[in-house]
Amino acid sequence: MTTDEAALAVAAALDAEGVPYIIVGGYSSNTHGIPRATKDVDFVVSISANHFPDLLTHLGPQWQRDPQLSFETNTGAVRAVLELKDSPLKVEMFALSDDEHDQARFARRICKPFTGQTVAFPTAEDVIVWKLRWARHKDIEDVRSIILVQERESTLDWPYIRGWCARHGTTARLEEILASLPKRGR
Amino acid sequence: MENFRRISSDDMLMEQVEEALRMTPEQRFRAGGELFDAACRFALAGIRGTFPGASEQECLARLKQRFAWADELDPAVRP
Repeated sequence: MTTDEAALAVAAALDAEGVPYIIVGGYSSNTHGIPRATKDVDFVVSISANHFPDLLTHLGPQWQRDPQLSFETNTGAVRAVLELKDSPLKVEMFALSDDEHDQARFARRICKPFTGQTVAFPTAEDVIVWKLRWARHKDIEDVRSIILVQERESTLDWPYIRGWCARHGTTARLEEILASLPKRGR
Repeated sequence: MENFRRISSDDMLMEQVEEALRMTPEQRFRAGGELFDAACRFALAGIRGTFPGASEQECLARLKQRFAWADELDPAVRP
C-alpha cells in the first residue's frame, strides 16, 4: 500500500465510523500548493472525551495502533497514532481542540472529490493562517507555495487571513513572506 | 556554455508553481505520498548497502530510527 493510499484508507475508515475529520499538515498544504514529500499523515478528528475510534476493523491486519494515547507537552494536543506495518508511515490523529482557529478551520472545512471518495481539508486560507503560527522553515515554504498557486488557481480571502494574523500576532511574518515572493500579477 | 539558460531561485520556484497548476488537487495530494515513498526506497537501498547482512526488518527499523531522529530535530507542533 502506498502512502497516499494509506491516507485515503484512513479517511474512508473515519467516514465509515461517522467521525468528522480534516486532513492537515503536509497533505493539506500539498493539496493547495506545491507538493513536497511528507512523512506523516495528520488528521484532526472531532471526537468527544478523547475517545478515538477503533479504525482497525476497517483498515485490516496490515495496520496497528499504538495502544497509548500521547499528549504533546509543547502543544497540549492529544493524539492517537496508527502505523502501517512494514512501513515507516505514521498516521497521527489529533483531537479537535478548543482553540478558536482550530474550531474555525474545522467548521469551514471543504470536501474535495477524489477518485472514489470525497476527502475533507481545511481551506487554503486556514492552512496559511495555521502555518504562520508555527512558522518552522517548512511551514514558511508551504505558505509561500500556497499563496503562489492559489492566487493563480482561485482567489484567496485576504481579509480573513489578515484578520486571524492580527489576532495571532503573525501579521509581520505574513508581510515578510509576501515581500519575499517573486514578482507576479495580482 | 552559452547554450545554458541562467535561472534564479525565483525562476525555479515559478516553474514549480506552473507544474503544480497543471495538476489537480488530487494529483498534488498523491504526489506528496509518492515523493515520500520514493525517498524511502532510496534510503532503504542505502541502508541495505551499508548493512549488507541486515534483514528487511532490521533495515526498516534503521529507517524508522532515522525518521525518529528527524522528529527530534523538528519542534513538536500541532499540525
